[in-house]
Amino acid sequence: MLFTLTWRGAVGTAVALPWLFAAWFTPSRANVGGRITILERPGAKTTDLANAVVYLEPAGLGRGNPAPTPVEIVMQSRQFIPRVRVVTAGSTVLFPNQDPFRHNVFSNTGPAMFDLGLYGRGDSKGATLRKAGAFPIFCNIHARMSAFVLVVPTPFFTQANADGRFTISGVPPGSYTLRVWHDRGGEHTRPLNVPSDGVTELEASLDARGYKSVQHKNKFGQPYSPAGRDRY
Amino acid sequence: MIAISGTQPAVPQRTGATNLPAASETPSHSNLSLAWKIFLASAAVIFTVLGGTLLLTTLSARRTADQGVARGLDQTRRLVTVLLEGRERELASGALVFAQGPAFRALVIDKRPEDLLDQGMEAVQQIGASWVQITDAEGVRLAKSDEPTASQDTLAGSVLIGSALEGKVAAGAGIAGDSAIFQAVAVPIPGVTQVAGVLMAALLIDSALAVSIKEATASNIIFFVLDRDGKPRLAASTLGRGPAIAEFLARHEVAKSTEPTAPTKVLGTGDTARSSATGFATRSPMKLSLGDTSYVGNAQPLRSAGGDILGGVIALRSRDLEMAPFVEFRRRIFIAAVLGMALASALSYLLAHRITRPIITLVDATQRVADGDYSAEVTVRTRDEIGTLASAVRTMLMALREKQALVDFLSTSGVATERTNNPPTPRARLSSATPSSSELLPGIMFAGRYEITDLLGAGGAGVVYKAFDQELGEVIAIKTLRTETMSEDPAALERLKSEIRLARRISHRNVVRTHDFGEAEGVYFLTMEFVAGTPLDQLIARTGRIPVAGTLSIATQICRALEVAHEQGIIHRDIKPQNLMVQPDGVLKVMDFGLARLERRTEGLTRVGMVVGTLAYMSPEQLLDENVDARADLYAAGVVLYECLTGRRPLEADSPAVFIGKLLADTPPSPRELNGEVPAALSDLIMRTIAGDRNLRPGSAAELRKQLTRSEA
Ligand SMILES: Nc1ncnc2c1ncn2[C@@H]1O[C@H](COP(=O)(O)OP(=O)(O)OP(=O)(O)O)[C@@H](O)[C@H]1O
Ligand SMILES: [Cu+2]
Ligand SMILES: [Mg+2]
Repeated sequence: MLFTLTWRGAVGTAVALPWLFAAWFTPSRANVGGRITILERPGAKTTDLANAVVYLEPAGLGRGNPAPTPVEIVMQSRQFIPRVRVVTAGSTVLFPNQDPFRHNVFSNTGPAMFDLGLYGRGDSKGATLRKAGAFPIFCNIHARMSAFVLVVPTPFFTQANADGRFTISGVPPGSYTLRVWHDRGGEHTRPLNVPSDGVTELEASLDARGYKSVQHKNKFGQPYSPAGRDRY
Repeated sequence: MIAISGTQPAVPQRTGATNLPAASETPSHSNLSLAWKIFLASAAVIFTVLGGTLLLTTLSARRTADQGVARGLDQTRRLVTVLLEGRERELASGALVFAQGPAFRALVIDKRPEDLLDQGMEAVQQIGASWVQITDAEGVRLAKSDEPTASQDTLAGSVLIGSALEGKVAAGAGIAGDSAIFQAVAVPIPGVTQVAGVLMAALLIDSALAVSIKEATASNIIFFVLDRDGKPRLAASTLGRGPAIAEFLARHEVAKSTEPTAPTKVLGTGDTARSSATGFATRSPMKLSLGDTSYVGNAQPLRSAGGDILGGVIALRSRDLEMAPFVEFRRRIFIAAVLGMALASALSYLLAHRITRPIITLVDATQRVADGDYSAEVTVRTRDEIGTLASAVRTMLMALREKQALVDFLSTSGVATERTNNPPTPRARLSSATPSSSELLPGIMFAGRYEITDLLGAGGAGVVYKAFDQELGEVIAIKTLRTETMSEDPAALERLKSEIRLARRISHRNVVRTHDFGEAEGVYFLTMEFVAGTPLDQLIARTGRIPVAGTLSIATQICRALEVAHEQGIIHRDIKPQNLMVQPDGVLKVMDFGLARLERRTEGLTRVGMVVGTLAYMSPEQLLDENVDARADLYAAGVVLYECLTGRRPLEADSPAVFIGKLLADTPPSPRELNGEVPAALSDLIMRTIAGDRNLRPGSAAELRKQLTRSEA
């Protein structure tokens, strides 16, 4: 249960800080809420709505860089937990290892290249992500481990609940671009005018029907196993 | 049920019997009727054929099933080999791929047990192994995926790990615990310059595998391991884990490999170990009974990489199951057979009845005849042998009825009794007869052996006595012949002798049997069968006429007698009522065959004693002294019948001359005109028989008889 508390703490921090900052800056704030649904292949059920990220990009130039949001992605039982994290640009993501063996966290994606090297239980290493974007994070030892850090250039963001509901609070009325991201469902973008009394019943639908899982390469850009084999 | 009475004489052969004694008794071999016999015989044939067919097909099906079992076991053996090899290859290639992983190799070089335990679990997942273990370059175990606490033993001593340490990929069976058997491969983990360690992957041989083999081959499968004492223990099976299996395994203690250690099995270097593996043998063909299914099986060994037999796989097949489709087939055949049999039985029953119904009618008729009842009607009119038999029975019945009529007539007219009880006194008879040169008296012994007992009568040829033949102890009749003719003409004697020789040959119930011809005390004589009957002339004289049925019987019997005589070339020439004796039992006997020649040829019509009564029976051709043939006798018979039916001769005359005149000029009235009871056909037939032109008469006695039969039908 330790990781759950940590995760909740991180969410709390992520939501509270921009709100406090904005509350001090402008007098009138509104809530933007709604619900995300994902179109699946026939017969499939969506179980990972919490991996959906919603954020609002202010129209025109932004108000400068928002404050960094430090978060953790725990490595446990050969998994990154949670699988998706959203942070503001410049934030540092920590990867504590809670498994009894070593992991090697790395990212090979352009602006966020990093390799934290092998480290064992109890150790935690962090990576600071400065550029906005969706960055896949892997372990060099365990081919099936993968996570995403979504770096956004705005303080108005959130992650959906397990049922797809979301609320972004403290949004100043005005024109925005609403962006919804999901690791399987891709991206949904639409202009949104936020009135002073906010928006409550937004409906956004992503399409995961064309999603195909592809085995990523290891940190050397090679397959984890030297020969691809057909098994059964 | 109708008794079979085929053993009874259908026609009474005994001349003196009007009723057959004890003839109604049924001497039968079995109580089955002919219909049943025919039916049972055909049913037996059907049974035999169908039963034989079933037996043969069962035998061949059993042989086929045995062959099927053997073939199935062979196929299973091959499939098991192929399947196990395939699994082994799969396992080896998975392990090889995993061992190539750079991160993995780096972790092996680092030798951290916790990392390698993690890698082991990764490998299990990726390779699809049951478990894996990882050693370092010295063969010391670093991790075992299913046993996090496994100690750091040295495994280099095992052939499997040892070969991998040498850089080869090795494979073979292994035992885990005391009853688990698995397939194992060991692959080298490449280091920087040399082997960094060994990855060994194991795949359990479990029930799932056994089941999948069974699905593919329909054979039941038992995997077993050999414990340290070489005793087989069940590892996995498609037949459960019951005590019967354990007992079966214990019974078939597998011979431990005695051959020298087989070469290490190394994948990719040629499969030398595999061929020697076939040396695995059990003492006898394996047999297993489970419930009511019995199995036959064979075994095939599972060897370690070093070539030791660690266990094996037994394939079992059931002949019962192999036979199952046939059993179903046989069940259907059987049903069809039963149906067919029922049908065939019904058919043969009907057929038997069709065949036997007329026979039963005939049997019934003959049985009634045997009981003295001649009234049965034989209605069978088929065209086969039975039809022929039926018409024969019909004819016989008719003859019997007629004879019975004659017998009835005889007994009611009182003729029979009178004749037997009151013989004419010799004096009276003799006085009326032509005196003869020699006369014998009752009581004297004649020719040294014949004791004269009675005078029977006198005729044209001589005197007839009843005598007792002391030589043979038999009653006979002796007829003395007038000697004048013989002494006058010696050739006549010779002619007479030859005629008698011929006549002696006739042996027939309707012909008086001639015994002997001889001369004693200057008297030529003839001995013959004594007939206790009435001459037909007396019968007619006393009763006026004879009923139609009786006449027909007389006619038939005359014909029969003439048939046999004519057949031998003997013509009677003197058929007349005086020469036809009727016994009280209705049997008629023709007398004096061969004697007609005695006088007439020389004396002709003017002979002394020749009266119209004799002339009346002579055919015109005979009177004219032409060549006489059988038809002359028919003519005479016709006149006799005419007389029987009407009480008079066709032509009545006071003198021979008048008679001859009438014969040439008149046509006699038909019998029917004189007696209305005579059927027209019979009347016509008689008229034809006494036709002056012999060509108009029936051609033979047989022909006359046939026409007689037809005329009454
Ligand atoms: N075998 C015999 N058994 C019993 N009686 C006989 C036998 N033979 C002849 N008789 C009797 O003797 C009689 C005389 O017979 P016989 O043959 O001598 O004279 P026929 O028949 O009247 O004339 P024919 O001389 O032309 O034959 C017969 O009428 C018959 O009654
Ligand atoms: Cu890892
Ligand atoms: Mg006579």
